[in-house]
Amino acid sequence: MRLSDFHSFFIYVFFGYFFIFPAILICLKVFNIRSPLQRMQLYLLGLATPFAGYALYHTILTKRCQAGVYPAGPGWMLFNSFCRLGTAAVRYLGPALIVLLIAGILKAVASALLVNRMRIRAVPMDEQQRNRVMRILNIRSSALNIGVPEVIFSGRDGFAAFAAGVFKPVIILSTNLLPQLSERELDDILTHELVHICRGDTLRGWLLYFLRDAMFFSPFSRILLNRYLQENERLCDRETVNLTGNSRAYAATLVKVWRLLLHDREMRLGLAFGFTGGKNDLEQRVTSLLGDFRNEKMLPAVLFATLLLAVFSGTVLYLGFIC
Amino acid sequence: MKHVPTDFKPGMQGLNKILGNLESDIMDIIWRVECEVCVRDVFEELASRREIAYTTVMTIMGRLTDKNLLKKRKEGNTSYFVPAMTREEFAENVVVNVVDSLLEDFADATMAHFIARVGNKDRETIAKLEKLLADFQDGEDDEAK
Repeated sequence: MRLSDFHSFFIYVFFGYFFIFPAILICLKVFNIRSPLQRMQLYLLGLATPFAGYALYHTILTKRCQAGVYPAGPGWMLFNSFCRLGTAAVRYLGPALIVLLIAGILKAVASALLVNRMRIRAVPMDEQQRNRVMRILNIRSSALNIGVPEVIFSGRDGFAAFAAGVFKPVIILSTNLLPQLSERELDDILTHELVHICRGDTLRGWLLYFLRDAMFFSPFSRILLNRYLQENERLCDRETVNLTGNSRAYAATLVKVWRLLLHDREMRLGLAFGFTGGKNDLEQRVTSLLGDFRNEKMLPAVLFATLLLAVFSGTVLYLGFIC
Repeated sequence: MKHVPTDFKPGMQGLNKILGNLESDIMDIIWRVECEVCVRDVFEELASRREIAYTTVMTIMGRLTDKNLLKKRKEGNTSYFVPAMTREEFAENVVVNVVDSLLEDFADATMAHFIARVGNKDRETIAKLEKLLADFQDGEDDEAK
């Protein structure tokens, strides 16, 4: 494989999103797809297809230029300019891509380092609080059919709880908020993190960010990943409510914790070193929880699979015309 | 771990990397004195170097107390302040927070939060959602009746 073989990667990704992104938006609108799971699957398809198209055209499928089929007239000029653009991208964007891919791998290492630092700096918890947490974790882990993950009690500010660690996720729980949470609220938070662990979201998140970074030169990769993550949170919220039983109470927990974190942030200056953070979609999560999501209909499986296949095939065909 | 402000400005010098100009001057005085001080004590020290209002010093010292850099004790009408931590503890906490935040930001892709980082203008949205929750609760109560 030569360096010039990679030129089509940049073309497929950059131009591929101009096709697949509107296609996804149209599908969501026309078929009124409201299920977070199906929306996630569409966004994931959008994220991965240009990459998959590149893989297909370098393995199974034959590219137009390999088959010796060239458009005539102005089509040839456009075709040629795409190839030149791709070749220039290899030269100028290629080094950045390599750096980002290495950084992507190092993120897994950073995650392990962070968990270890949190573990070393863990604050001792009194027996009552610890038992309170472990009781909930034992019950909910059993319900989800997973092992009880390690819990690290952290005195750091700025968060309630998060699951961290790519291959063996742990739950990091803020001790600052713990005394301010009722039993039910703590149950909501811990169950939500267990759902993330059960779904393998820390590993999947790492892979998807890796994929997004590989396509850093297109803003659509970032948009699609953000939307995927938003729907993922909505799905996790719903699975949490399925276990805890009260969507309004869970929504109230979200709002309360949000308020506590905001108050905490206003009491001190925020961390200045690049908390890019995620887009705060809490408003969408809360209004979704208060809606009638239990009666929300999913698109029939066969129809949805056909839709996914159509979008995928259409994009791959389109890519074949481009380069 | 204690709350520690960590607005890190690498281009500044000394305490000014972390705190505002006046905040760092006040903390510098209080750390040097090594005993309880009141607002008047700090004001007189600062006023000898620059033009400053008493109320400004009072406000800043109140803010430093909110940030858990100072502890306050009230005796009658006078408040006395001591540092909540030594200069070295403060520096250590800042370093730890900055390193942790760098690590956390870099590893953000591998984490799944209950709530992502809060924004600056969320207060109105929170109020709106709390009202929505209250209305939802009222609706459920009416249906139950």
